Amino acid sequence: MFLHNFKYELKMVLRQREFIMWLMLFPIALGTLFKVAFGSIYSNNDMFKSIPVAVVNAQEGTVLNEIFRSLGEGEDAALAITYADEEWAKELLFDGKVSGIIVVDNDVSLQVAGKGIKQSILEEIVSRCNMYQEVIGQAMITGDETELRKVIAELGKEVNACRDVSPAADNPDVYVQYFYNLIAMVAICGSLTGLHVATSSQANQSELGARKNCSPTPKFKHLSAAFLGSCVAQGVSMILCVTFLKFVLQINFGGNLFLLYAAAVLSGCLGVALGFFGGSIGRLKYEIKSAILLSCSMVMCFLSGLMVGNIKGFLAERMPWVNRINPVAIISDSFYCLNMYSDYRRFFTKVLGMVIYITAFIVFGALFSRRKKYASL
Amino acid sequence: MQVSKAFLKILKSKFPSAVIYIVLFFLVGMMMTRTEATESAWEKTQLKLVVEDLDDTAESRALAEILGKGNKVIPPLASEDDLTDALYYTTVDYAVTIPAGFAERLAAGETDGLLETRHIHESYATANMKMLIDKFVTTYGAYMELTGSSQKSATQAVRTLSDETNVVMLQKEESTKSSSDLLLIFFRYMPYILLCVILNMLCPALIVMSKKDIRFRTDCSGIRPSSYTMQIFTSSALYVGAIWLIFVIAGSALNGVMYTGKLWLVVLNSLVFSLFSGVLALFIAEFAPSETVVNLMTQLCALGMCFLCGVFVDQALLGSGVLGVAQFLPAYWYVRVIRMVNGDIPFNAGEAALAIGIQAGFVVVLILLSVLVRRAHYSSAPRKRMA
Amino acid sequence: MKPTVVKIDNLVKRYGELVALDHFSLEIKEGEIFGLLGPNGSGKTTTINCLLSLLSYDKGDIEVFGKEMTPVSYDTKSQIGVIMQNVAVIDELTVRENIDYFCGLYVLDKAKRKECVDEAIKFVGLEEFENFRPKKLSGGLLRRLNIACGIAHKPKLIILDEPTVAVDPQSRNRILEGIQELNRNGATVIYTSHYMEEVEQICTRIAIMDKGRKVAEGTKDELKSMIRNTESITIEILELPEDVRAKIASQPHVYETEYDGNKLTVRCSGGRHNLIRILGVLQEAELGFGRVYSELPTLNDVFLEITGKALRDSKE
Repeated sequence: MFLHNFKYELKMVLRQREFIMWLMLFPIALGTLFKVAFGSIYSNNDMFKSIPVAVVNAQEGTVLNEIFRSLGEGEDAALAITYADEEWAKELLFDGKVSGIIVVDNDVSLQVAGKGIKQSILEEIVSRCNMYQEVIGQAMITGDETELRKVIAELGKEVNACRDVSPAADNPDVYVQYFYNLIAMVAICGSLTGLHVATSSQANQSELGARKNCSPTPKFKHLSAAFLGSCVAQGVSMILCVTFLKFVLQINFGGNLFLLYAAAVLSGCLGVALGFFGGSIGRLKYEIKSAILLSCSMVMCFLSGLMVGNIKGFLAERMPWVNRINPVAIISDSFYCLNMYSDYRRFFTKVLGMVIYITAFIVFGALFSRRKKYASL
Repeated sequence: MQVSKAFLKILKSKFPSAVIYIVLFFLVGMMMTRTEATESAWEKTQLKLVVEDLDDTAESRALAEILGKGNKVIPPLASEDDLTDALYYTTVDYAVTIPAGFAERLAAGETDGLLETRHIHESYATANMKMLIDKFVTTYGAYMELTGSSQKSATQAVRTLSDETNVVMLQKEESTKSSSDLLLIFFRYMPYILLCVILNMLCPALIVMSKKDIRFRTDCSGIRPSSYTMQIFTSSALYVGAIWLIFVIAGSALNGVMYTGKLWLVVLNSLVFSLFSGVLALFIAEFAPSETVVNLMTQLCALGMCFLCGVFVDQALLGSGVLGVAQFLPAYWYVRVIRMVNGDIPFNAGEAALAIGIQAGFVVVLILLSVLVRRAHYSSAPRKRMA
Repeated sequence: MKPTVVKIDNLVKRYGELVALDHFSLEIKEGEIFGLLGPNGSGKTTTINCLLSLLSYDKGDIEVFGKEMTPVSYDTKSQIGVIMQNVAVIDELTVRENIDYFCGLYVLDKAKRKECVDEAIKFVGLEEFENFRPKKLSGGLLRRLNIACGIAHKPKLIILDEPTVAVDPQSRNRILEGIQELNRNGATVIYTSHYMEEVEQICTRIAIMDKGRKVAEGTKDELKSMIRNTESITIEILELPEDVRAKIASQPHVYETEYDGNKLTVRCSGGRHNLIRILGVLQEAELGFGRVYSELPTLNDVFLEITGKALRDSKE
């Protein structure tokens, strides 16, 4: 009887048009959209590239000129220098073609048209130029030529004071979290399937529920078969989603592929469980419950960073508990952990969190559903 | 006016599902506008750093002082994992550990790999910090040659590097910066919420009125089709206008700004986009989809348009290909007007009017398409069922 | 003495202030087609839902097949077939799949279940529509599918809650014939309806309900004999002077006359040749009249006399 119920529940879910659209076509459409929108933002805008700058009054053969030359040379050059007169430099600045104008005079100064990290780096470089002048000036005061040469040599020495011990992320692209959140959104939208499981088994929620309650099949068997069928269907859609993102759109999720799929399938079960829990409580109509579930899902997705990418970081600073209890954040964090951490400790912590949620939703949903008789239908 | 009355009653019954979106938007609006700063005089970009000094010598303290100038130094986080997360989400830009023995190694001239640093992104902030650290080491080294004393060199380095750099903020003759940046941020995110609220409420209500049995019953009555259509359109416009007004008033109230000058352009811009949202709802409703499909279409349209057109991710960051496609969507032109008023791109009254006009054009096109689809549906025979 | 299949004793069910069932009692014997008749809101569906342990009730006992009926009475439930008032089928499954699914909740053996499903499809006449989805079926066919889902497992007790609502005459006749056939094959049937014609046609015993109470019970003849009215004579007449009306009213066996301006209704209790006598009075008065018809009492008359109102609105 369990298999009989399971078979038909699976058929029902897979034949629902809404299921096909929401859980299969929607992620494909949105994933493609994200790829188109974010495909190269990280590499084009966030990663360091030579900063375009105009230099005015630079004189050949000076120390400063040497500094500019070294900063503007090579493939990894810090600056892309345009030597210009004052007027042209201002034109370039206001047209957005350069980020600032370095003016060489008694002092080295900087002219900018806005505030930002690029302008701050230019200020850093200008400050360095002024430092050179200051130190060399002090060296010259001593009158010792040997000392002056040593100071100049010291200033010209290449320094690599930073030893990088950063964690080795497979893919540091911060925009990939949109795809984590997309997978999490697909998972949490499985709550609509879970809602159907709940309402179709309750006599006071649907006619179908009433008919099932009249049958000799215990409610537990109905529910478990229906729940499992929905989880399988949802798992299929999660696998399809991840496969499409990973292999068609070529998104680098990093980490262990098997664990990625496992986490995705588990997150799908979490979505179904959430819907089951939501559908088991109260007597609201199916349409209202699905609207509430969908709205809450979008709120959770928003708080996890689906729409505004840096909101998770914002919440981590001010209200870290939100990220800890938000199921969507837990799901997307699990993918993040696979990418960022070489050991799986944190990943399994997130997985445990999902399992706890699934268990809690199922238990409480079952508790609410198990009422044998209804006050009214 | 019976049709109008019934339609508005149906709309009222759908209102609860829109409330969540409205409340969410206001909360987010309040949150986001508090994190944005307005442009004024020159200020160095403040980076968020974690500096851990394990050496605790005059030299290490000198370095820490330099690193802290103009930046926000955060105490070390509880765990390595927390730091990794903070670096990834850029709530911390860079982490520096000054190991024990730093002063000795510095004095000995062993500068390679002197400090342990952590970062995730090879970003401008990372490059900035590397430059700053190397600058300190270089300055110290130079003073070491001059003074021969490590502590004196460190002190001198701090003094020299603390000198203010002469930075001049140039501005174009005509300042295009609005004094109401916070309000513009509010309006920037409005397309998403307008689409969600209007589509989610208007579509289901229109579908109810267009149901076959109800339509047949209405057609059998004495009401003229033109009057029926007019009443539906008027009620829809009324609803869209009410939603738009709520957001416009809320925008002014939340940000404490009255609408003056160019801001009225922004208000007009939002009105036209609201109309577009309403007409899009009309168009979708012509296909009589189920409620779930309506939800799907709402999210697809809202999220899709907002991501592609620069609502969630700035247009300046999107590629030219993406923007090329986005031009065929009204949200692109909406955001363009906002950017003009905000001063992100040069303001041009004619271009702004064109952008608003293009959005109005979308409205007209969708109305025509809706009418065509409606005619096609009504002229076909109803689907036969097995008797 | 046939065994009791269903016994409802002193059932009370309240929805807040409203008393839906007011000390309602019932006993149904094996092999009966028991009709539960009453107007909308009389408590028929509430009785059925309480019987099936879907609804909680405030007081009373319910036994089915001699055992107390509870939500976990799975053995008892396996012998019951239910046809709900509203169609309860799965839109995503075909006709055959629907019947197979619901039959599978009762019959575990696959081969036996296939046999049951084939028979059920044939029984309701849906052979041509086996692979259709419910959305493609008309109202009547949908009701037939609804019935097939409820009886496929060959239950001993079949409960039909207003199964012919919004059904075309062809389907309705088919349904009623089918019920009688099921009864001939050994099933006990509980049939609720507010259509007295159907109940009169197929039910062996009838209980009439009103406002949660049983107002009358018996065979249709027993019920009709409870009332005074044995014959209703209706004559279309445009003008009826009072003295003529009074003369008609004084005729033997006439206990009530009603005149609404163009139709005279005369109710008689007992007697023979009442019609001839009344027409004689009219002839004597030289009054012209139109159509004339005489009816035996219906269950509606029973209900009317007992409660003072009709089973259905006169507009129906």
